[in-house]
Amino acid sequence: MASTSATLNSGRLAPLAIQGTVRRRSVTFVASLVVIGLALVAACFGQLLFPNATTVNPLQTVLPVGSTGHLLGTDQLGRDVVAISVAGAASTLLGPVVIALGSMVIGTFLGLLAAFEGRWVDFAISRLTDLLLSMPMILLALVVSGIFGASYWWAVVLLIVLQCPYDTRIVRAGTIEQVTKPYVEAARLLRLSRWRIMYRHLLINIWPLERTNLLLNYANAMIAMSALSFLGVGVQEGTANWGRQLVDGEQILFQNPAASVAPAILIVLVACAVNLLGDSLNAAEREAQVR
Amino acid sequence: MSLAVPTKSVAARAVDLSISSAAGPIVSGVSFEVPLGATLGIVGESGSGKSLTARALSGLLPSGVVASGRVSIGERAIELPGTPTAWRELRGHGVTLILQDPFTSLSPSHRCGAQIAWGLRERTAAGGRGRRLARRDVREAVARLLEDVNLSERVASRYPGELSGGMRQRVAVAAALAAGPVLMVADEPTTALDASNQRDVLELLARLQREHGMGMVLISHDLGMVRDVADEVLVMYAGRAVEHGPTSAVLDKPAHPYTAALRDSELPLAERLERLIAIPGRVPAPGERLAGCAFAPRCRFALDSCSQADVTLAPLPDGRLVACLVSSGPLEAARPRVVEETTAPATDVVLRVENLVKSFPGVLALAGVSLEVPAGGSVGIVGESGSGKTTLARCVAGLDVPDSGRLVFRELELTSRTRTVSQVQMVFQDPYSALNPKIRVGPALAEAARAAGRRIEQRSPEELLELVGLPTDYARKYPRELSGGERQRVAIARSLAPGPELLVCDESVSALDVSVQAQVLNLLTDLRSQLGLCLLFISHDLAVVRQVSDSIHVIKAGRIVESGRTHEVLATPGHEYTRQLISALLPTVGVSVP
Amino acid sequence: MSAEATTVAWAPAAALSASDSGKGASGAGSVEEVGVPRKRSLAEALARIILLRTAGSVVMLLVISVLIFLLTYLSPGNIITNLTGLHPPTPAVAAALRREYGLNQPLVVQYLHWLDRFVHGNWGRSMRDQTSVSQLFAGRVGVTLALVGLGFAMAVLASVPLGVIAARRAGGMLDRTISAVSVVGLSAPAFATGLLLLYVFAYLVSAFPPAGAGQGLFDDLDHLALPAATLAIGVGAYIVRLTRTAMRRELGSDYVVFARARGVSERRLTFVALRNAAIPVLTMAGLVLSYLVGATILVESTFSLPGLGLLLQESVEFKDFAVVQFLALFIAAVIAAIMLLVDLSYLVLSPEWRQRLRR
Repeated sequence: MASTSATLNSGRLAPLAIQGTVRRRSVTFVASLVVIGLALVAACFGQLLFPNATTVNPLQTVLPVGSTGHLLGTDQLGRDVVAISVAGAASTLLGPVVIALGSMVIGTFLGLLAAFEGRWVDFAISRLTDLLLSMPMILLALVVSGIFGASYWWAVVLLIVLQCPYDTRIVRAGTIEQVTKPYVEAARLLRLSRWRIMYRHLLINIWPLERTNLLLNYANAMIAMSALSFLGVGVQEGTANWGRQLVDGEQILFQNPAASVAPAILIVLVACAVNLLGDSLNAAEREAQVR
Repeated sequence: MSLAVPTKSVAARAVDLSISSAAGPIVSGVSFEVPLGATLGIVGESGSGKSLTARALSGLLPSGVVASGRVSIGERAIELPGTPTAWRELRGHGVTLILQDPFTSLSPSHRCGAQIAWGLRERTAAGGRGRRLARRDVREAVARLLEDVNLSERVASRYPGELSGGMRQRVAVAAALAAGPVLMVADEPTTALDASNQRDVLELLARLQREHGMGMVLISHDLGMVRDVADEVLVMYAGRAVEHGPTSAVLDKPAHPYTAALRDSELPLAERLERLIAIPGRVPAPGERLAGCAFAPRCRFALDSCSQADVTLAPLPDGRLVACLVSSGPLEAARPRVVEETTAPATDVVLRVENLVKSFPGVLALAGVSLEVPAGGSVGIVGESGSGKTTLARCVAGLDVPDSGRLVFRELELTSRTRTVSQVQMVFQDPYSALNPKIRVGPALAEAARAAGRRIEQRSPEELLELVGLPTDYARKYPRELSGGERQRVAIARSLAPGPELLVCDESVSALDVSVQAQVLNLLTDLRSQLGLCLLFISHDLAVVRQVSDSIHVIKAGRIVESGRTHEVLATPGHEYTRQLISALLPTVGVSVP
Repeated sequence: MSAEATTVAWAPAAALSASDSGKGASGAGSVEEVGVPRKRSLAEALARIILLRTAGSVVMLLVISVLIFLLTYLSPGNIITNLTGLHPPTPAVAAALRREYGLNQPLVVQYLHWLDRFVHGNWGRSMRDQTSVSQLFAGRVGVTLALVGLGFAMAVLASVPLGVIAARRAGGMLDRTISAVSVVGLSAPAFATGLLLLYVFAYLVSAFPPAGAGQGLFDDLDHLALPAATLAIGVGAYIVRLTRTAMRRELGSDYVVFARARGVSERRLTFVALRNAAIPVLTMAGLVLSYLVGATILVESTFSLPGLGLLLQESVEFKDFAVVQFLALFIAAVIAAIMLLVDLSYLVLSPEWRQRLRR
């Protein structure tokens, strides 16, 4: 819209409240980005930064925080806590990326289909998601992966399956809102193929919804994955993985609490940052819509 | 429920009311006075700022919107924006607001009686004695209020969800009255109701005002309704007051070009105009408002001086106020040419609908409907909501499949296999959701044209835009950059892209302002003669259908109750229902009687 | 989360061309009568919906039970070794097992037998120490109930008011603080929070014992304090969010504006909005419940509380099928029962829903 020229009463404009929130939100926004950035660096370049992080040192006793050469002490296998924590970033953070993306792709496909086709297709997909959703994710993951035995990547696949009902639900709800609108009916009148309508017309309208959901999905996946690691699924004792480190470190809580506390704080920090980022994107999206 | 009657006889006064948001000024410097026992009508189209003005009188503006100026209710004055405490004093027994949508004005989880009583108790508490009314007294007071609005006292124990729209609106009025206000502000109180309910609620408001001696401010876009009910009228355009005076003077003999244009845009029922009077262009958005008279770019009397300096309200010899440099008194009404209506020559039939039956779970929408659309002709379908008219439109267009009956398009029976995009297309009601918000106009039109394949000669998006009277550079724009009327034109262009012979219009102008309605209706008439298009025009608004169709079918409860040439049916209606529809309109439609 | 089908859609759109059926229209001056006789009485409709929902839940449970039953068969390895543990059984033992579990019969028959046994309370024995599952269950259920009860109560009591306050002062300092804290609570998995609380309050400060369940009531509470607090933080954060979102939506709706315009006090408005917000919050009950189950398992693990969650984890580790099957089905049944109650509570809370039923 052309907001040209001198308007009258230009003195009384934007209430300060609006400007204030934008500035204040930026601080958490920036902080979140910084944390996530650092985590990504650790995940991708951990090997380069601390090449010997995972070398077990059987002669090394558990050292407490502040010992020379080991800022946060050593863990039960004699490894430096700082090093092992950085090394653990990869395992903790990368699997969830696959989960979030996989869940989104499948959820989008099923959600669009259910909302657009309606009737039996919707019934079948909805009942299926209902079934999966009626069981708590961690419970199912624990039982299935425990009974069948699961490696890290099988746990990832399992979580994709368990997570996609949530995505399906969200996409379905968003699509249903759009599907009754005249522009979709007009597309039907043009006899466009159902795939074209779903992916060219509908998807771009629910994409903002999905985009923010992706971040929140990631946070959930990360938390679920680390919970499974904590419970012993998919990662052996001593693996560099924050969830695993936490449970391993409980044994030596007296001698060096940092072995457990450090990964705990890291998990909370990164999950928080992702959630906050998702929230502020959400808020920005909503504001943009209002205007 | 006695009121503290203020000594002054003024219910409310607004001085230099201005409202602005981050986008720009929305209302600039509006002033008015409402005497006790009188009604002020505030009239304008979308973008005039009238709704926000109503809200500002109660201090209930949405966040991000700020008001300035002074408002006084009874004897108490408040400098806007005003503190929450100050407003709390004024609301309820000072000023109260009635909203447009009866389906969302009441809490769904509380009984009607309780909701009405909320206003009662608060008033007593604020009265200073801090004593709650006894339960019996409350029940009696509620019953009395319900009686006042023509509802049985049993309604008190019902939930809003159990009542119809008209009844809910009356409960809302009773609730608003509970605190005994000095000023009642009603923001489009009848727009969401059926025609017959509209009249009832209006009459109710008028009677209550007389009985309680309140002042009333009535906001509306409907000139006819305001004419019936208001003593004085304030006309707003683009956030400014352009004319202010006694109703009969302002609405029947308008002095401001905009008011005159509004009056001229009203659709007559008695005859068919060759071309409807429309106001070219569109209302400027808050960020676009320039110096000088806001209406100047669209005004046929405008001079250069109109766009240079601000134009304020100035008195005319007859006492009313007008903000215009050019006008010095009532303006002549435009006399558009009238069409000679004759019986049509027989032509071939494009669409034949034979005995269409369609039902949904629990509802029989169409109970055997038959009609014909001749080549190049325009057929109107008139009915109220629930009559089945939309279902008919959807079946014809192919969005729904009828249970039984046939649709024959030029000797070809229409089934999902025989349908093509070049036969029938449809234009919907809501322009704001008619276009995909994330796709630009150009690509949307191109896609529509491509849908017809090689069957027709492809029109480019630019050609289509020209066809509907829009500038070709609109192809680059997103729908959100266009006004309602412009979006509807793009929707029309899109439906014409595959080259259909029949266009179904389902309430296609009902969501548009009166002056924009005329633009779109003229466009449809032009397209008919240019392209040989035939129209199936569906509406609840008899006046609109009259102007656009050669023949008309009246539909009620899934059946056609009357058919014929439009002028004949309206002059001598055969069916009782048709008569009802016509009489519901008459007092409110500007019948252009010389 | 079969609550999806029961989600109440708010704000029915009023069609521009009037959605009013004109039922209430009358001439001026006559007193209005209310509505037309309904097709079904309320009692009938209620009975119908209770039956429908219960049937739905039972069907769901049956499907889940089939999957759980199949666990032993889908698991890698021989069914016999799965049942006996790691040691390969002697042929005699193997034959005995086959007879006892009827392993030679078709799958469907085995399932029905299993289901029959299950429904009659015969839940088998734990493979590890041969104690009956019911005994194990009885020994551990108390701890879990206490933990969940205490944690959930703490959560609700704290978070609903916080959510309401945050919604009322949306955008202000208080809201931002509450929202920020709730994000942290949400982002921290229960075991991380648990560990941090453990570290701070059991080691640094030594206010609470670090592990185990304790003896006697007060000792129990002492032992439960930190685990319950951990649970409360996670669930509480969820509830704060839900309440805030629902309240904000209600506070912005037309009926609140209209009530405010009539001079209704802010205090009453808050309660009115809360009443209406209860329903969207309830639709999320399924999510909260899901979270609660997962968190309980993690918390019991972190604090070594001998409850059902820890039992589940240990049993999975040791592939103790009987126990795993029982616990999984038990949890599914509890969730189904609670969701049924939630569905039914819509009827109590929402007149709109009761309205819909009658049509």
